[in-house]
Amino acid sequence: MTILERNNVHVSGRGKQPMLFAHGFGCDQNMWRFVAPAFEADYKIVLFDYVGAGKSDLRAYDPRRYGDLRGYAQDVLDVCEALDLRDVIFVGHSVSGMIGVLAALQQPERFARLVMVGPSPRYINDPPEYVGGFNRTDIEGLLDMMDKNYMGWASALAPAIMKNPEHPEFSRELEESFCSTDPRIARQFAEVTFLSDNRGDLAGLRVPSLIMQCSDDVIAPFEVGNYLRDSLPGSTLRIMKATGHCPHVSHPEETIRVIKEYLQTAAV
Amino acid sequence: MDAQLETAPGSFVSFDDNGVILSTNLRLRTILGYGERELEGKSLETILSIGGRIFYHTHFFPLLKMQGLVEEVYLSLQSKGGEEIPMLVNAARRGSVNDCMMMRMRQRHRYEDELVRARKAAELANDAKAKFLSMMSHDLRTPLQAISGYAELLMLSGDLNAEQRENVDAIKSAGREMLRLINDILGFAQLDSGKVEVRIEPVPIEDVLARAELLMRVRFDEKRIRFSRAECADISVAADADRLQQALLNLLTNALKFTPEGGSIEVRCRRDGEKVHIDVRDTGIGIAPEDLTRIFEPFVQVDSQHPASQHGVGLGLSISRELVRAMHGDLTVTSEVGRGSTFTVTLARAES
Repeated sequence: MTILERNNVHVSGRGKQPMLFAHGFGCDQNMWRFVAPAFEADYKIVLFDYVGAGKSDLRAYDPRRYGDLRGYAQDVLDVCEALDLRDVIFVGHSVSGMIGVLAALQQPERFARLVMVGPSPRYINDPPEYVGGFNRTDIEGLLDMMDKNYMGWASALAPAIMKNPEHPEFSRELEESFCSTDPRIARQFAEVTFLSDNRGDLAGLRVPSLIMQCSDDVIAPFEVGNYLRDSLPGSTLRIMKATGHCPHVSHPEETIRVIKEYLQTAAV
Repeated sequence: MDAQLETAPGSFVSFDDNGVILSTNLRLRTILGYGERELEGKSLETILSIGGRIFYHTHFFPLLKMQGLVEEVYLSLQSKGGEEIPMLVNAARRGSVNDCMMMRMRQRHRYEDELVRARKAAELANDAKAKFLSMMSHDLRTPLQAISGYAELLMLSGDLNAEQRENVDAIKSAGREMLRLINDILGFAQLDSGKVEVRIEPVPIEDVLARAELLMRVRFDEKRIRFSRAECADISVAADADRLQQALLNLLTNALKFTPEGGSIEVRCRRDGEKVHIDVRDTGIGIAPEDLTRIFEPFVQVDSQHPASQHGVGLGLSISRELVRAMHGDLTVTSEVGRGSTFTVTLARAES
């Protein structure tokens, strides 16, 4: 199995410079469907699913590798290497912001820009200095809800069945439900995401970055955006009118505009 | 809102893509402890528990926006007084408005907690079982090796009469058989617990087949089985050579077991784009259609009456498939009762 199959990589677009779109915790590359097409005329668009998400090959899931965000960063680097991507504009939603930072720390020469949509280096509060927005018990509530939904009742999140030639009807079911995955994988990704602390990785970043901060985002509140701006060398903070945590889904026009403006000014 | 929806025996809320509540019905406000017009214009997060807020942003809203419909999702709400209220939610988009119908879960919520706990306990027990099997087979192997070793020494001592030699031979052959069973169980336990490490590299199929044939030759000859292999030269696959050999040996042993004397076994390779299929075809007893999927399950012997099934614990095919899958390939089967079976190993093609 190749990396391109493993990570369900899709390449499109008419430009030369690659834009690599990385989804966050929850669903898969489909999350970019309202935004990515707007860049097809000028860039080479690369979409992928992390191993364990979407239509990636679940057999490649190794709990040790993906027990750390560095395992996910390796997915990003694997895809870059498989397609020989250089001068990459990395666009990462939510936890993928930090995954992008980790990838760019390892291979800074590959990346031209990081665009982070609703990033957070740590979701749990660390009093008195750091406000992440959550307490550890809040995350337990999330994990409980995920268990219930993934373990079978929510048809939208029914446990994924491996691509199985003996049961093509199961494979179809999987295709229709892009937020579904194996319950254990989803749970581990949730834990790895929400219990991560990447504050120590920020100062080393050598790639210029854009922090897209939504108004009224419970998952990445203003304090987090400000913290990132102060900690990431070469970063730009843009506060969006969009509310919530998924502006690329809820407010794609503004998301596209903010990214385009940043890339234009950055290109000078 | 029409009067029927307002008083319907189910909770209702609608909100826009900014997460602003547009309307609620009486049932929802009663359950959450809010008065009329108190929630309109507020953020939906007002009525979600904290875990519920994360789940809403990472799963619920993206699904709803992209699929237009979300059904049977468990979402935890929060009352005005801060109490968590578990709800079962169906949601649908109407233009740019999101409508949710919710049913409060009281007893069912606790019952589902129990189910989730039970399922997790079962998964843990399964892991423990695999660990136990693995440990046990290791522990059994050591004394068994002593038994076989001392039987060998006894044989070499040269002082045995014909009957004694026959008896020691019986010990040795029973020891070999038992070692094979233990190795099967150990192999299965390792696969089951995901402990098998594979090192994927380009492997020339012909090399693996030649080695496998060498190991099987005597047994084929004993049963006058015609063995042939075709069209595998110059093809390499992305695999772990040892694991591939193990899987192919399992398939050949299996074919041998179920093919009557004088039958034939053939291995043939087929290129298929970026993939390679390796067919192991026999002229054996075949497998009934209803059994085709079961045969890959561990500890299943389809026809336990068949004398060939008496040897082994029904792990060979299960292990082989896990091995091939660990190499990112697959093992499938087609069969016709009375005509024979074809087991197909599919792997990614590699440059040799």
